[in-house]
Amino acid sequence: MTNNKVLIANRGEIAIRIAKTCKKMDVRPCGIYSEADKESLHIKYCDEAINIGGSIPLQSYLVVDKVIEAANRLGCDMIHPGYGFLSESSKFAERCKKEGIVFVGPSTNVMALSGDKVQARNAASRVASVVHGGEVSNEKEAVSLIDKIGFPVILKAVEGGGGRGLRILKSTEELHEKLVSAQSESMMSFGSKRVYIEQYLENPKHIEVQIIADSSDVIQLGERECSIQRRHQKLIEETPSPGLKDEIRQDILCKAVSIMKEIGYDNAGTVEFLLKDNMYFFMEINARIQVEHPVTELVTGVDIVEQQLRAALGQGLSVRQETINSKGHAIECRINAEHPLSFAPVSGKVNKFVAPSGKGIRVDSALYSGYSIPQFYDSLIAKLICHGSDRKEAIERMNYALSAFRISGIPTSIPFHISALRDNRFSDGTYNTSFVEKVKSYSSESGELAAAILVAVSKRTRPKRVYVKQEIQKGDDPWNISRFDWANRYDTHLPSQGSRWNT
Amino acid sequence: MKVKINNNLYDVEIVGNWNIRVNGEEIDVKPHDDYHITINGTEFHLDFKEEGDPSLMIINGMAYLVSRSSLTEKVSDEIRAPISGKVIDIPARKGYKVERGQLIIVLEAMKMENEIKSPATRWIKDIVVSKGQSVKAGEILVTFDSTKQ
Repeated sequence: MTNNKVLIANRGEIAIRIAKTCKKMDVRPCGIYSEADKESLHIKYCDEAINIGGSIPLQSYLVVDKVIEAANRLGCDMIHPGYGFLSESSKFAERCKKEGIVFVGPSTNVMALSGDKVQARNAASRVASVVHGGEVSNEKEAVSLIDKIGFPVILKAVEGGGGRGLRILKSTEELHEKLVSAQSESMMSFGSKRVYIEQYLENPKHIEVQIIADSSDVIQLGERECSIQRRHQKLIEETPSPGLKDEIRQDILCKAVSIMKEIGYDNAGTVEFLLKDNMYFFMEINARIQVEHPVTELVTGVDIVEQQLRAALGQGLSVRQETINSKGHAIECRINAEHPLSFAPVSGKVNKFVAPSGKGIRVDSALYSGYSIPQFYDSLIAKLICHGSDRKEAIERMNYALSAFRISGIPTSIPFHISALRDNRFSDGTYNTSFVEKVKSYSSESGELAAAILVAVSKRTRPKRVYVKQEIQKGDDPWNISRFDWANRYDTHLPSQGSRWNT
Repeated sequence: MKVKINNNLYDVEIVGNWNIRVNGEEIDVKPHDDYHITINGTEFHLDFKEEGDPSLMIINGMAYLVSRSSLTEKVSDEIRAPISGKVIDIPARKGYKVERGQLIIVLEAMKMENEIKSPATRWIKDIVVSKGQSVKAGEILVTFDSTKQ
């Protein structure tokens, strides 16, 4: 039936992650890479790989014909899309089907449904509560809809994702301008002008449920708390969610399973909810493996990629709901190559890359010492995931691992993560999506002394990049540490072009 | 050498080869290389150091703001593009005063608009770019009058 070769239509850490499971299952991983990715580590993890040319995603990883041609040339009869790029394109899945290639993901009709925010919402509303909203095609329709639901509202691209094209509206005056810009951004990013308006919940908690399913079974692997976000991009995720009442947790998990059963979902996927004042609302379905899947893997011991392959091949899931036994707590920090003050993504050479190791520490990354980060893709360079028997232990391990993580030559978001983990709202688990706005930078007194000495002795580091200097705020904390305000550094943060990373 | 780290002043004297005094006190420093030292038994790794003043240092994953010349609080006399893109709007005018945080230039990059704001209250000496122009990261956009601060 199959010649056991999978084309991994992705790059970086997720391509490596998928290749590892393929090898474990005796399936041969094959890869593709762009002109800019010739030195990418994921190539080494594949048995064979093809240069598909191009650099920007629109000329490389997003080109359906190139991916299909690579699969045919390498004799792959399966394609795993990873996340981002073509992972949620039902047209791509349809094309695979036509070519006789197994797409590792849900069936095409399920993908088309879950990828359309209006259809997904309608289906979910039959079994769970959803926020009020609907699709609008012009200002008149928007006004009459807003009359019913009231301000604030959020504008979204119907076929969008990854936090792109979102606009928050607080008054009628903003409607015209934001509707036009949302429609044009949606057109540019997703090739569709369709937009959608719904009630906007301010500062909710973002909870999602990991589902694995095939044609005969739908299983939940628990929830993930993903409220620590900047510009709708997640930065820290954990499971189980702290501060979630057990009855609400059980309720959300059941609802997620019902929604996926309702639409006939048949692979790994996520149901996202917003939670506020103990009320929860369905938000959307992510029909792919997600960036943050490792936290779930560490507490459940289930290899989600393995279940994806099994479901796609019709081999049946190797676990049942009754056999899922979650243990302990896991946290993931998404480490980005970015300036910690301006949040501007950076590319460039990594001088040294030494990942931390030890009990309960997992690092998913495609970096190595001497690697040059290309400028064309997302700024995520490593995922640091720590597991502990309880939340306290997981946090302790994460604190250690963050300080022991050596990435030099480029700035990273590690200082943000260290500061975030020391924030009271993180410690007590009460944080919501407004978290990043108030995080104060943390540094140590002995580190200051080291900084002073290193400045005095070092004359050899040369400029690599030029940044706009951010103004520095005066500190007033007992540590005498100057603080900077992470939230007001939004201005220069840009997600990379063409990629649709998950939110 | 005097250096300000975060908001604290350090007076570092290099007496001999790695014989170092800070604020008059001798410090036990063991060097491994210029990026890795041990102070009083604790290891410190310099992960990243930015050029310029003030600049950012990342040590053991934590961020420190370093300034040497800025002990006089001098602000840079120019604004550079943080990222390559296209100038789509220039609300600021040559010769006029801009307040701290006031919008100077809007740069479009990767389909997103980036607002570039004034780091301080300054007078604009010159606007080097024009609307519609493409700029590279690091290129000077605006200069400030250094005689008025």
